[in-house]
Amino acid sequence: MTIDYTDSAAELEQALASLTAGPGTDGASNGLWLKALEQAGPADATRSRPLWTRKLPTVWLAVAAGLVVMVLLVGVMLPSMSKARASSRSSARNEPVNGWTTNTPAFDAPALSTAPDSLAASDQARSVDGRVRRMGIDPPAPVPGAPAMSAPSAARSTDRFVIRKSTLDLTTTEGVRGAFAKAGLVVSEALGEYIENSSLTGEGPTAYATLTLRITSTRLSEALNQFRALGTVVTEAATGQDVTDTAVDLDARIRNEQRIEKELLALIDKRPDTPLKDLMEIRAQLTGVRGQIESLIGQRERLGRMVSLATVLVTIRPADAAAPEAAQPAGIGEYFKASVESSWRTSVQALVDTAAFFIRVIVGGIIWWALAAVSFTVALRAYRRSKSHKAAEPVPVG
Amino acid sequence: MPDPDRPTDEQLLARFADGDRAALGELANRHEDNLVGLATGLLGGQRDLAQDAVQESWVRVIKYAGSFRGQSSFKTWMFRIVINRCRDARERGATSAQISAAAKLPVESTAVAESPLRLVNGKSDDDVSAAVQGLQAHTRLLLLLCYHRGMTHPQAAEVMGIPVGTLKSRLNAALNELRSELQRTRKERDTRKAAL
Repeated sequence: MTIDYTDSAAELEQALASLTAGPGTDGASNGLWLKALEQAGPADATRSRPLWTRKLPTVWLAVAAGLVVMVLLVGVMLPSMSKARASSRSSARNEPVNGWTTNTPAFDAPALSTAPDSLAASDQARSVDGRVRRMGIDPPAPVPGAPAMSAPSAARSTDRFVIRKSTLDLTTTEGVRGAFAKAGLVVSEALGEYIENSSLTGEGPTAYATLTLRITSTRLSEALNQFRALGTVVTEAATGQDVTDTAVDLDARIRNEQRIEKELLALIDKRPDTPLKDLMEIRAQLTGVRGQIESLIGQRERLGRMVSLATVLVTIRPADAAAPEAAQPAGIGEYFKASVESSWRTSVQALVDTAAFFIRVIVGGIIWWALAAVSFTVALRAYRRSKSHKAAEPVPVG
Repeated sequence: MPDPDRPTDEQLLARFADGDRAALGELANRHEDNLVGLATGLLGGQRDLAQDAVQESWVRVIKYAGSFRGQSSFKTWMFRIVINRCRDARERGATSAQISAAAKLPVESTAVAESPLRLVNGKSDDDVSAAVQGLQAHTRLLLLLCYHRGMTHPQAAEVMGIPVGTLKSRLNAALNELRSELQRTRKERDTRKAAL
């Protein structure tokens, strides 16, 4: 006879219960726990074992290895990343510089009045234009001496006003004097270029020449190539200072002052019966405005010159100039003392470098550390969740 | 009614963690039979494999007794360990052939003395065993756990990590699934018999 479990719930439940019925030892165990105890060894063995003899969990070894790799990666990547950032800044603001370093200190900007940021400057410029048009007054003519570019168009344009400065340190085998003369010939006076400063000192191996040249920005690359041909380049550096915001701001302020000047003049013209006292007041204000316009135009012209003419500093030395040699210590005692001092300096330097390295790794790589920490936390939680889902045991299981 | 002088499972485990071996023996006396029974059901009736799984579970209990935090009762903790060991044993695949062979015993086969297949009202419950082993793992676990001797629904829910209400609804669905499976098996057998 076959039981129809689909009809009898009680029998089905009984059948299910029978599937998990134990061996029936009546309260006595099967002794599996004793076998487990033998298999596991003394319960306290792991706890009483010295730390250095305990087997490290694989996961901790993996974490330690990951940390070491992370430190090395961050340590290696940080300098190259900062180089990349410097390079990207350089390429954004300068001409292509063929791998020049850009570690020269920033070139001082001309002493200009306060320069608001570009957004404020362009807003001001637009606002002035708008007001001028609403008042029915034509916008003033382009500012003399300034590049032919109105403020709004400057704000919209991708052209930048950049003050450039380059330095070249050269050594030559053909005589410093000759190289010095040739360097002076690179300047094209027809284009407005000139030698701002030059000096030549010493003779033979102690000869030393420096030149400060103002070269047209458009011709800077060509001039630099000519300088490079004068000898061997020891160091080369270039900087660029973006003054677009300052230029736009100056243009806007000039136009604003010119508008005020026009309004004051119109006031005088339209009111011929103005009392003398008022007229004198207006004229005094007009004088102030004109002085302000002159000052601003002067600043703008100077800025234009700084932009249009790049500054190149060239130093020339003879290639065979002997490097200053360290004095050799006399006697074995002196030699020993010098060696100890040298070793001490080296070890201290190494210690400082190591500390600097770790500080750089920790501080500089804070983003990576944060990412790693977040990833590790997420992975750990996922691991624990999967374990709890799978095992739901309150202890770690292998 | 529980004896107030009788130590709880958790107290026994704490005592074992402090070095009292006899406490583990007392725990084994209380639970080992049930654990072997559940493991047997989960492993398709393979008693030897079930005993291995329970023994491995005891090893884990011994290893982690000191870190038991009491977030669940000892019983549910132990059941979870056994369930995991049984799952591992199934996943290892070494025994899969044996398990499936045991699960798919022909209905007409004779149940030997060591077989877990018991008699219900004097009749073989091979059908139920085969149908249960044919279910999905979580459904199988649910059915075996809920109808395991001495296991209450709240305890089963705690072992599975789900609310009691969810457990009951899933149990209802699992029973329906099992009935369908049994019906299908019965039809197939009837067809086979008719063909003979």
